[in-house]
Amino acid sequence: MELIDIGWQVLSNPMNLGMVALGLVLGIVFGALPGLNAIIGVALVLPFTFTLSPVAALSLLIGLYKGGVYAGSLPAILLNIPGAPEAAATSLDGNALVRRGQGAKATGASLLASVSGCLVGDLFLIAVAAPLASVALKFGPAEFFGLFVFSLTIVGAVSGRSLTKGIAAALLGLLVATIGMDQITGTSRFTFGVFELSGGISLLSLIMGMFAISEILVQIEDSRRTAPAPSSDPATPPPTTATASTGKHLTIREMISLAPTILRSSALGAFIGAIPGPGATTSAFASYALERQLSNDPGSFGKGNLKGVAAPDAGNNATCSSTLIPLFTLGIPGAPIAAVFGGALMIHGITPGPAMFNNDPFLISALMIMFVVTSFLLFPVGLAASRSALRLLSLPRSVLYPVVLVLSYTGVYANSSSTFDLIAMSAFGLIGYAMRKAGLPASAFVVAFVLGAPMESAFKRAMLISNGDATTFVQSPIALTFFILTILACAAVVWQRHRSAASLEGRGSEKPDAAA
Amino acid sequence: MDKLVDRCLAAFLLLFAIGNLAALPSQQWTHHSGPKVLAPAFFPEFLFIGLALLSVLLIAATFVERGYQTDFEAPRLSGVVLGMALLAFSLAVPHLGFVISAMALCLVVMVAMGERRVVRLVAVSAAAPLIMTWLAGQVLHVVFP
Repeated sequence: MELIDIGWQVLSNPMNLGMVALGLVLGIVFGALPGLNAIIGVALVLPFTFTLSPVAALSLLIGLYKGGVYAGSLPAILLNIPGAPEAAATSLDGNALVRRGQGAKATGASLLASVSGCLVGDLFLIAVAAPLASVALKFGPAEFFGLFVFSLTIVGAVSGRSLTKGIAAALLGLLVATIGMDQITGTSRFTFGVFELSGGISLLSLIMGMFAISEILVQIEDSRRTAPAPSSDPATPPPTTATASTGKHLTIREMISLAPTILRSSALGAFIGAIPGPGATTSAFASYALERQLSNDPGSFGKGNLKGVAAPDAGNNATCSSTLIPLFTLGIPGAPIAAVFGGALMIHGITPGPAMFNNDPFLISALMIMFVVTSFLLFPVGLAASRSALRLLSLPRSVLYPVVLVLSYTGVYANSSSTFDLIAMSAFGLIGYAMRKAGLPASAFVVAFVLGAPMESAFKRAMLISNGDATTFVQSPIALTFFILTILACAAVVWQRHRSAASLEGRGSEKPDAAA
Repeated sequence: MDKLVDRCLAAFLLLFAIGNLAALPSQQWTHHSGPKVLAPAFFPEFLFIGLALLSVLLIAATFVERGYQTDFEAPRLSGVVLGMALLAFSLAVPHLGFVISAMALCLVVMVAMGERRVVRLVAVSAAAPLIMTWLAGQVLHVVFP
């Protein structure tokens, strides 16, 4: 009854619905544009939400995120250019369908699977969040420290190819988080006499620098190496609205036949999304692999099977909501987008974590409602906007990237009115660029930065309560479990990578024999 | 080449960690008469020790692991130069103002990306900063330097 009341209050405000629709349109634009994605879109728009109410601001960001994730599949299907890594699985069958003249069926299946995936993810979030938060509220500082160590290790381990580099990136993020005033003693650390550093590094500058600026630098570099624009490449036809609507549309019978695939993939995606670390790409490929394994005709996958479009898109979109479960319930951003959402909550004065459920039940209920509303609105907005969004693919990159750069700097300055934040943003852009080149995962760095302050606080409070006895971390069974899980997870990652390296080596040594 | 790059990276991280460990005061507790409170440098020291250990592990892996592979990708001059241009832009803002600096940045990036049409160069680099700062000023009441 209370939820209905809150729902009525939220939905009766046209501002909130307008923000969702605007977010979806912007998300589709960012998702469809080459080199940009939902994370960059959310980070770019974040500073402009400062003057909005928390519900309206988060509605805009939720819409942008969901629209961006959905639209990443559009260039993947129509042009075989995945707008984001998670859309790569969709391009396998999606583009094959387009080449067979069934573009309308492919985009239709993608939209249907995306909307269904989003809804399943929302329901999973609603069902799991409150019970998990009530458990987390019973955690003490030692348990939280164990949980932070476990989550950070997982994020570091799965973010890049090397476990060592992933954890090193996370440690660097934690170190950057220690810049500024010490929370307990009030002593300045690593400020080097610079007044602006005494408050710590601005989260927005760091997120924009690491995600937006470094990505744009890499894209600019790549655009110099490859063809300047997709439209100028004679091998790739220019995107047209006609390509998207080629052939017959999805029939009711096809929709029904796709239902089990969509449900299975959505459930798998929602589950994978809730685990800190793996994220949307793993979910999309796992859903695709599962569907192929269950299929009576696995040979048709990759050659234009509609299930090959629906499965990765449902799995990918189902992570949209579930990836925020660790953030809302435990205060842990398990993925880069969750770190950006964590930043959005903090900018609006809300500390993400289990206390949100007690301190701000209205906001939590409103957010849950807006998640579901966004998923429903994705269908009409996606249908209408996706065709026009494809025209953006022919936009010259030499115009697009400079405009996005200026927008990024305008947003950061508008948020803090500090020129120091512009310098910090550029510096983190360069650091992010260097980290990408060196194979140090930027996502682990950002997640660690967001977790840095609460992790240090949990560590210090646990030590304070135990009067300096470090065994407090192993005396608590929950904390001990997390530490054991951390060691087991590291061992599993090392073993799995060692095995795949050995199998690759085996294949390499078999080749000459086969040739002989 | 892969191994050499990662060894250099690990050596850099190791030196960074050891240098900071040497510079930080080796004090575990604050000098209070009340409950034991960890010194401000303790947590960063803890992290630097972790970083040093990981660097050693990374160096060891390049020697021990068979078929060692890395994600390293050589940076290109255009990326580095543009990165420096961004840093120069942010340092120039307090002196030249946001709009002028942003116009120059836009122009440099467009030229670096191979844009040679003068009309487009002038139009985009002038219009983008002007429109965005005007919008931010109107909507968010921000005063740009």
